[in-house]
Amino acid sequence: MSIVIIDDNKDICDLLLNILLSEGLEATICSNPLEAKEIINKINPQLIITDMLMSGVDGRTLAKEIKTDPNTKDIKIMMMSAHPDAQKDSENIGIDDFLAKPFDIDHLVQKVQNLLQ
Amino acid sequence: MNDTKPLSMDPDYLMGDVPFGVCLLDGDFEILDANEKWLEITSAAKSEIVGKKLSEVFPEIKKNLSSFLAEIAGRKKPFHCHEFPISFGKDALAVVRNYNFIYYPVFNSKDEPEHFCSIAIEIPDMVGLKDQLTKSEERLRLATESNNISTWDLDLNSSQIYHSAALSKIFGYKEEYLITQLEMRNHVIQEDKPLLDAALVNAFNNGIYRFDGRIKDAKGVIKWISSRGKIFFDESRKPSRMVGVLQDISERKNLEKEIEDREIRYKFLADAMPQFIWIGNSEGKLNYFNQSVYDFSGKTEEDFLSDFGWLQIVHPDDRAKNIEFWTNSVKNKSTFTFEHRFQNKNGDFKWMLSRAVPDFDDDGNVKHWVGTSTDIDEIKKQEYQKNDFIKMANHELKTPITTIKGYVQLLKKMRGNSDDQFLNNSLNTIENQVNKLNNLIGDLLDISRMEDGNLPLVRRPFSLIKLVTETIEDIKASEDTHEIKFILSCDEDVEVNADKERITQVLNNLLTNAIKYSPNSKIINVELGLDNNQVIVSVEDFGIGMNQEELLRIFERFYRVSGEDEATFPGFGIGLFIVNDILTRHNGHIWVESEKQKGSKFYFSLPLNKKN
Repeated sequence: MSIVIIDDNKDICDLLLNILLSEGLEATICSNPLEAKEIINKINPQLIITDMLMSGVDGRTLAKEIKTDPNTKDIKIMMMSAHPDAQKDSENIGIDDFLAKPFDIDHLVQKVQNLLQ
Repeated sequence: MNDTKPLSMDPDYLMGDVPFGVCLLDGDFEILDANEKWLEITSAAKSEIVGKKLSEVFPEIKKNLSSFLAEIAGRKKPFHCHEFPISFGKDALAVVRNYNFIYYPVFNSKDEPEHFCSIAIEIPDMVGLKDQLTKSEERLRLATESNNISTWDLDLNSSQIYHSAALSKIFGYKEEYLITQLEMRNHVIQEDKPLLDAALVNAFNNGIYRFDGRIKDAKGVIKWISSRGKIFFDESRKPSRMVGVLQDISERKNLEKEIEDREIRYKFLADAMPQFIWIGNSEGKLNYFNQSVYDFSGKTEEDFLSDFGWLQIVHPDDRAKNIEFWTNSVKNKSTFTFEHRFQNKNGDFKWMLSRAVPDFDDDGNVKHWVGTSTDIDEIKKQEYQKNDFIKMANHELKTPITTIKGYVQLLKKMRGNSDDQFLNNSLNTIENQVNKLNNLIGDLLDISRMEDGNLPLVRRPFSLIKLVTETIEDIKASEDTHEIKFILSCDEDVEVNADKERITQVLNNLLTNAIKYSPNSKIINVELGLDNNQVIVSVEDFGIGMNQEELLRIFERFYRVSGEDEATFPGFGIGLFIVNDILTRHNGHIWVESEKQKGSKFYFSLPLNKKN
């Protein structure tokens, strides 16, 4: 039941981690998106929650790489962003869900639970 | 002979049937006999005049009678009395006819006139005819002279030319001067002589003479003349005469030249402009483009003047809509406005704003279309940059909000059961204010998107009753100053196909406005009902209300209603502008009833979702 949270804003990483922990879920945070691939390969999580516009790495590129790699293609991905066009821009890259920032924590928890089922 | 009437030498017969009046008189001018024609002149019956003196019948001849007799006696010749006027009828209806009278005397052995035979021959109204002829000649002369027209008649055998006085004047001579054909030819300027020769050759071939050219008149003035004529042939089909008119058309030619110069000036003006200028006919077919279009596109006139030839420089993605808009404008005779991309000669696309207006004739038909296309590429780029900036600003501002909102909610969740009321209240306040901040940032984004007309809508069917109930609950949770009553005036569920978040935004806006603008009242009524295929929701407050002028302006951007004593209410003044736009895009409406100091009632309507 492992989750990887990727966001270049460490506060957001921590927030998500705390929310998930409060629901009894385990997660690993990654606030340096350049290390994301390495962490994913090491942990082989069930779900990745990633920001879209990060310094150095675009969440969409990351998602595409994960979804095209045979070793990681089954990992569920939830994209999140505060950019107004983010949902539309990430429509055709094969992500499993989208979460607009800012969000209600109940909404986040519900989406995570759906993806983990 | 067809006339079956037998000829007779009977004097009565001769007198009776001749086409002139005959009267026999004795030596003292006493009437002995007269035929019908003669009686007509006197307007009397034969019995009334026989035995009377001629002077009794025609009193006006009395005074001349003696000289008249003397002449006849002396010269022994018939006496002619020319154009003697006789009136028929009376007063206003009187008609005057002129007669020539001839008196033939018959002399006795003493050489005294014993009898007279008076013959009266009616003459046509020569005077009137002469008068008419003179007048019409005068008219013709005036008409031709005022138009600088002269007439000529050329004898092709002798080369003798007869012409009107005006012709001499046109060639710079005095009116009475008779100009010869050769002189006329010599006045034609050297360059135009071949034209004259060609015109003559042509005339001999087809009978019609037609020459337009320049002359240098006797005073050295260059004039444009136009000569038209027709050849007449004799019995042996040989051309014998050429008759025609010659006109000084310098004025017209100068005018034409001026128009031509003006056209060149306008063309130069049009070509010098960086803007594209184009003209279309009434059917919308484009038939003129200024030089800028060709310079920009690298295309030629032929490329453009074929049917929809200009379309080849329009971006393929913009073509269908371009044709649709243009066809519509032409059909409805309405102004055309369209933003599209044109490809330049380097293959790059540039944004252009095209606009065309119809030019109407007096009957309201389109004479032609005049269009312009303006380069708005830079503006478009800046607009794109601005939008990009606003979106990024939105993103950057929402990131810290995400953290604050998340932690507040997390704190509430983890410490929600605590007895610490201060903590609970503080967390609620922080959450409400963060949500407000988030909405304001959203509004700023919306307004910039609405300006570009691309506020996105995500439509799906949902229950409007549920949405209204939930929104009221949410508001109640953050605003406890007012009591919001929900009156449901329909029995069934109401489903609309709309963007749920946007409709929530509409209701939220109306509710927060109702609260904001009714600081001294506590009640807000929300009502939902059906009308035909529309659902109507109203939000009523009992606050400061609005006057007529304010009512007209509340849907304007940045407009805010003021309270008493210039007291203002906070806000961007964009809420209702956004609400109006959202509803319009859903085919809905918003309207308001309000009275100053009594309150306002806002209504909005949405089409019901048609259930299959």
